Amino acid sequence: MQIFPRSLNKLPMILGAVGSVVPAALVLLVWYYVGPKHFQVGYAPEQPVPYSHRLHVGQLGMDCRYCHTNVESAAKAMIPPTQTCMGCHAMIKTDSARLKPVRESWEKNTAVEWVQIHKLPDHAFFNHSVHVSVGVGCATCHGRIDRMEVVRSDAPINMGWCLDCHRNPTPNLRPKDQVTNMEWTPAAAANWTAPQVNPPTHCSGCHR
Amino acid sequence: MSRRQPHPAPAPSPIDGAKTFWKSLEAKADPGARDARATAEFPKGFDEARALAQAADEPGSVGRRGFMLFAGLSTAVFAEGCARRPVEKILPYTKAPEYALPGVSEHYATVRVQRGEAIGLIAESHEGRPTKIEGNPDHPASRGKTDHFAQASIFDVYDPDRIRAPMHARREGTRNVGHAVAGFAEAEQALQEALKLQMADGGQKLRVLYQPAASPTFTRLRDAVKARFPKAQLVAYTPVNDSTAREGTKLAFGESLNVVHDLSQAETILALDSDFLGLESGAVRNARGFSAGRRPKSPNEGMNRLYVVEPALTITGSNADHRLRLAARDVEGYLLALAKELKALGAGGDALAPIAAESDKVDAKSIPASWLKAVAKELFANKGKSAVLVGARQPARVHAAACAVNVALGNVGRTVNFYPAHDEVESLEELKTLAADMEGNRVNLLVILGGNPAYDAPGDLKFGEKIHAVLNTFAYTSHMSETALASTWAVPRAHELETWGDARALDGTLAVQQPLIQPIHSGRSDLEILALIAGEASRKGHDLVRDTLRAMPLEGGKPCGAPAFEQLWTRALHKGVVAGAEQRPKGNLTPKSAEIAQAIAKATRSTKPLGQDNLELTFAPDARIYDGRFANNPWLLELPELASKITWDNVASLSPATAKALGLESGDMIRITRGAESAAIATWVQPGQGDNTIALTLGWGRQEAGRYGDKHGFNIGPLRTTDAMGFAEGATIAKMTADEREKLADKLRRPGISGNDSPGPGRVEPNHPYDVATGKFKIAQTQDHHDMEGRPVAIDATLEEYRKLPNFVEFPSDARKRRSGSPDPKVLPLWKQADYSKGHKWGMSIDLSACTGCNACVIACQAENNIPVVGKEQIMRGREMAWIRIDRYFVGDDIDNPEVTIQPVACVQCEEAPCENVCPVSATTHSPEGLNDMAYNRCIGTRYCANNCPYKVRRFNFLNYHGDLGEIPEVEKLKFNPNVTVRMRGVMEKCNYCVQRIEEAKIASRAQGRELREGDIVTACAQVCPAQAIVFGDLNDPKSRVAQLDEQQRGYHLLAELGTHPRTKYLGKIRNPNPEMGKA
Repeated sequence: MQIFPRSLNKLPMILGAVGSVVPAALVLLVWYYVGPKHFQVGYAPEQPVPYSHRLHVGQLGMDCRYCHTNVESAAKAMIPPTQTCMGCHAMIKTDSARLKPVRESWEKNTAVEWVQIHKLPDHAFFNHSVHVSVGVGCATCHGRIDRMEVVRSDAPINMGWCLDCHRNPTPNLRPKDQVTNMEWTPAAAANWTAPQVNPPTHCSGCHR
Repeated sequence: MSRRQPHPAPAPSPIDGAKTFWKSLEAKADPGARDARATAEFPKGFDEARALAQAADEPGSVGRRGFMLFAGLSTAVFAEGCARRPVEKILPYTKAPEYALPGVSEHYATVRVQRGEAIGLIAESHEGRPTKIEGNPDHPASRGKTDHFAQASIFDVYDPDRIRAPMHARREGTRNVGHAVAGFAEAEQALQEALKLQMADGGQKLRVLYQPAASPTFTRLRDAVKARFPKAQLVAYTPVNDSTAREGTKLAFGESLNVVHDLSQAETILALDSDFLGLESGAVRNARGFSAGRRPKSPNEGMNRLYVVEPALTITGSNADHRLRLAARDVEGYLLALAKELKALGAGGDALAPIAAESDKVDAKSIPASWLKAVAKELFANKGKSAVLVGARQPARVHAAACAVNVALGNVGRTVNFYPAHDEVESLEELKTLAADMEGNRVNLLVILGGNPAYDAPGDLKFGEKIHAVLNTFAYTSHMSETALASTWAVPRAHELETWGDARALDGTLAVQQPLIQPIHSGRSDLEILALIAGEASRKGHDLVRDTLRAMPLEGGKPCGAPAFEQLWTRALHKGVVAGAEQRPKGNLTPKSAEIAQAIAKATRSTKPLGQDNLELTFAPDARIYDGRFANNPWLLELPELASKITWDNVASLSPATAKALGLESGDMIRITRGAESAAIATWVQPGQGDNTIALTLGWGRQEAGRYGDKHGFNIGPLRTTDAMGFAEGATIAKMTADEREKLADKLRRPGISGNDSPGPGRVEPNHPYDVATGKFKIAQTQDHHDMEGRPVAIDATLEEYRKLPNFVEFPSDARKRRSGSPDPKVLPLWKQADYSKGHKWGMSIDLSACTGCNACVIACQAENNIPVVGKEQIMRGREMAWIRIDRYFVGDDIDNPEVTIQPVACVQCEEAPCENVCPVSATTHSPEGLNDMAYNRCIGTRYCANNCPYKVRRFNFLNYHGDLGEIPEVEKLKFNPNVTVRMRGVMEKCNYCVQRIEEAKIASRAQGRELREGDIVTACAQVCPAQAIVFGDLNDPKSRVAQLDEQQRGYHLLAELGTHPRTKYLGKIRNPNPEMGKA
């Protein structure tokens, strides 16, 4: 007597197929969607002040270091103090509605609460000054800031991405006087040879 | 039962005449106990751990299955809720302060005073919060080094139990019944009004109790207060001070002088009850000078020799070449007998005659002849290159006699210098008068500037009770201490890193105390309060200090005009030392021998011999919490004391012989009675302790210290009466009965950190102060922890042996019958070894001969590397976290007076590291520069690495020792070094040669486009070491100090036979015994 219908003979095969495809799909989905490439790249939160890098850098041609003054001397490039904004905007666009939070900050002596975009975990110690001093360009990690109306993250900033460059830094180096140049391309310095920089690839290079 | 099978360690070397090394009396008595300890699953004395392990199987507790269920569930919930990291804000400045770079530390010169000595400091500040203290290289008392107190003082700034607002007492009759929060304006107004009432009679009923400070501004304001209130009295008091030494110089030379030693010039040093390397004032400069003469580069070099006569084993005694255990009361007799010997040798002509003549007044029969003849001979032979030091607890006449001896030996001006003193001598008489006045209702306004007299004033004065009775008491205090609780007003007193001030060191060097941060709880400084009392127009600390300096006559002419003064001021702030204010030592001092002799003759002495019914008590500041001022500082509370290795408690130290005679063992609760006063305390049998003397330390047993310090240790204050401030005989001991013990239990029981407070069914209460089975007090002691399994690790030799065999550290050979040694490290590697010959090769050298065991490196490491404290209960489980431990070995078979070897051990950074091979997740790996890195975030906590480490230097976070998220007080978070990860539960950690400093220096040199230079990188331990025993640097740089030390013949690697190729190299300890002394 047959208790199970004949069609059930295929069940183990179906189960086997589903049992291998579904977990694999899950793994791949999680791999992609829960990774920094999905979550970090393109992250462009709304800021309290709609500051436009496209206008200031792209059109007006301001150098990065006008505002991010510490980038050559400290770990943090530093978000500029309100003072820096007011250096110009005390005279220019003094009644712009978009600048209201800046003026308020200046008058009340309260900080503008910028939303952090490029966030490293606390156990990774990144230092801007050493990267800038060996000739890693701003645009190499931050992308074409001069074209961004709203700043968005251009790179996944995960450990694999860091190590890709630390293991082979030469393609990402440029002459030191071109570091803040957004439009620099390797073709612009065809005769230039990158120095040997030997970045650390051991743990304590970044984790302390 | 445990299934652990330890690998058998090599049997102790069977060489004839080999000396034995031992860490505790138990280990000495039964060397086989080591195996029992190694196989035991739980450390000795911790039955509760077993009980807790069993408790997991009880109904209602979380077992393995329950844990798996919750773990699975929480993972699922976490995965569901995980979308993006939380949004974080960046808040920039509105107006950026000048020079402030976010993320870059700034350094400011300041100064810190403890007991008359001011140590110049450089404080490191991150975004306005001080995080680390270093010594100021330009300050002569520091020369870049500090003691462990200065290192730990950074914690006190962020102590969560500091008083945060003025507190006003509710009174019922003449007693306080609680305090209510009040405002600063209110407190100030109350003081102003109380002062106004004093104006009428010139302050007849006004008293100010202050802590003496050699601060010119303080002195100026004190005089201003005296001018405004001519009838008021200002009384100086600190429980530990140098008043006897100062009175001694007054007796000897007619003026009160500071004694400053230059031991780098000394060949022979005799310390009489003086812990000059540990707790006496000037210890930092003494350690530097002493160690300079203790590090022979080659066998041909000489060394200084240290004789120590003391009742209790101190840091100084641990470094002695010859040590005599002598009751404190007999030290005077020894000095007089020695003076007689010296006179017979012809020292000092007739100057010593009157003093030597008094030697028959004091019984010196118990002193071995060699300690008089040989010591006198050597002191005399080294005239001008010797030094006799006397401890502060000895009476003034002993200090005076020592002054005379030093003059007779021609040491004054060379090894011993006398400088003019700037603060007033504290007098106990004044304090007694104050207490009497308070009782007699002759005081109605008492201002207490710092200190805690209700706790630390002599026991018989009952000072706390008397403060209650005063109508108006203003206590300026850091904590709601015993004194604050008795006062009508308790007002926050600012920390020294929060206020302006100035201080002179013992040698007169003037430094400005520069604040690093606004007072966190709006505290006031002593100077500001004095200015208020004096009615000064300006009461800002900054202006007060500047005014003093402006009016001060300086060498090279007074600074004229504003620009010149501004220049002087700026330079003083920058350098940390005021130029032109230096002072010269007094020359041509002639001791008044007759008067000293008279003082000795007049003194009354007991002739009753010391014994069971007449025990001597000696009082000393505690090596960890000093006089109690650090009672709520967990870094210091958890610091193992050098001789006993006890943490979190103080004990009464007894010698093995005395303990045996009294029938006492370590941990027994006793009651010590002397006259009308008594105190309860636990005993400790301490090798090296003098017979029939009991060593007691101050500062413990607080009930109002704060969350960390409360209920730790025993308050021996009642026994320290006005006639027994240093030492006293006439004490008796009674062992406590079970009932008495139980009555005391509540005072000693503390809530545990793991929250397992309630004794469940069949469970043992983990925080009960006594061991249930034996009734002994539980003592958290680290000396048997991290045992090296009997292997020879701390290698020493005498100077003579070193000269005969310069490579004595290498391996033992029958020919010289060495006690120990390491075999040649010619072990074949298992795989191809990395090439470290290019680039940097970090290494460290630790000179056991120079190391004094002062513990400064332990606290410096703790502050630099965000190392947590774990609490007494966890220490008892062997879970201390300090990255450097100071191993103290007793050497020899004399358990009463053994030799001591001290060895600091941190990770030695093996090139072939056994820990790395066993990590399943590569959380610990090797850097190309030879560092054994820890990537905390990779660590999954298998603890295989710690198991496989032969040096036992890895530390595991069994719990969230820094506190669970949100649990740690907000203000305490400010103390963290932002360049070091704060580790969480389940993560292994260890020394990494301060890799954050290495990387920071490398980045800085790169950004500046230059090569790293020697001195760019200094680890925290090397930077603080007053003895300069620890040196760090690049072994590939032949000019670096560490590479030169690496070449020395007495250098050896720890357990070299294992083939681990450590980077830290030890230099073997050299002792310098006097062949004429025989067996001391």
